[in-house]
Amino acid sequence: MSASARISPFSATLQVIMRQRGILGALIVDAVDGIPIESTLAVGVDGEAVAALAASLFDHACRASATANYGAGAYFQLQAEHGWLCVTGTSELVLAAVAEPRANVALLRLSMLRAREALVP
Amino acid sequence: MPGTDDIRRLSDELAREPASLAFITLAGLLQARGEREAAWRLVERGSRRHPRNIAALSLFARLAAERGMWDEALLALDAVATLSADAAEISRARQTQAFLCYRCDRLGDADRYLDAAAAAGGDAAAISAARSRIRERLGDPDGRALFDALLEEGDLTALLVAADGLVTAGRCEAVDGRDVSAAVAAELSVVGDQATRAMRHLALGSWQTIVVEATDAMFAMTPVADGLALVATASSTPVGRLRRLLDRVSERARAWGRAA
Repeated sequence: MSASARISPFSATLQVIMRQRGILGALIVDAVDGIPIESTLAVGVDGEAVAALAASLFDHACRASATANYGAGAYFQLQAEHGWLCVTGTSELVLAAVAEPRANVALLRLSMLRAREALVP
Repeated sequence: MPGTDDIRRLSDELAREPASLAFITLAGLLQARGEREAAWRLVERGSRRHPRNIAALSLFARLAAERGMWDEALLALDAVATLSADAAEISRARQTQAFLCYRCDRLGDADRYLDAAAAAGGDAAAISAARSRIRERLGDPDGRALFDALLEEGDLTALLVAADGLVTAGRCEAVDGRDVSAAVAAELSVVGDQATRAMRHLALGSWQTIVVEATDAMFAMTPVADGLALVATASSTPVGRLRRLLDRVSERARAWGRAA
């Protein structure tokens, strides 16, 4: 098998995210069971945990949005003391990114919302 | 007549030394004798001469309020709160401002001054009682309208949710006007719990804010005491304004919690 044949449809998406400043990891996750499908992670980032938690947080945020009739959830951004967790996705797939505090979250948001379009079946 | 000698003595002192602070005591005595116009003229002139004297400003505020000059009284009390280094005095000035606003039916302003009084460490019981009176007048004894004065055009809702997922204050209405406070609070408390758990696994420290963008609105939440504060705005609202609203709602929620 050639190297190019092994590239998944999500590799380019993850690379675009990872190229940005301060990004510690980017993952494509199964939205239903929270299992990572593909990821690019810095050393020390627990991909399984990020995947499960990102999918669950996004799901609950979308439910809260639907309950209030605010429409479908499109983007979730959590700011913590030591970094950011950003999530977008569809009912089937979730794209998550973990970033350091120095990351440009405005650019990250734009990249992720663009990448979200590639997740829509 | 009581105080006549004192009035004569203080008047003489002022005549000799126009910059003297004797006008404060003298105005107080004149006011007590019912000579309101004379007291007012004296304190008006004296506070112009001593614009940073807290006793003069306080007396000016009291006499202005008695004359129904609400804005002048509020400005003087603002100066007292700004100039004073004494927390008790600052809190008293803010509570007085709240009372004046209450009297002239500026209930949103009254509520904000009570927030400031609480932030200055004012008497929690007195602030709570004052807030209850405001809520009663607003027809809001249970805090449902607590954040209404903070919401501007394009802002949809503000809600305070306890750790157990129950609504503490504020309200959340769906786009169609239904009250969905309880359901949204329940869902959001799960998001808050999960975020707290997630932070333990992700080594990101404690979480500070969550912003969710949806197709028709966006909302933001932050931990407040044991619960969460939530705000929602139209989707066209800049994120910076959403965050500023969240800060103001959180501040109000904390003050309310302290005073409750």
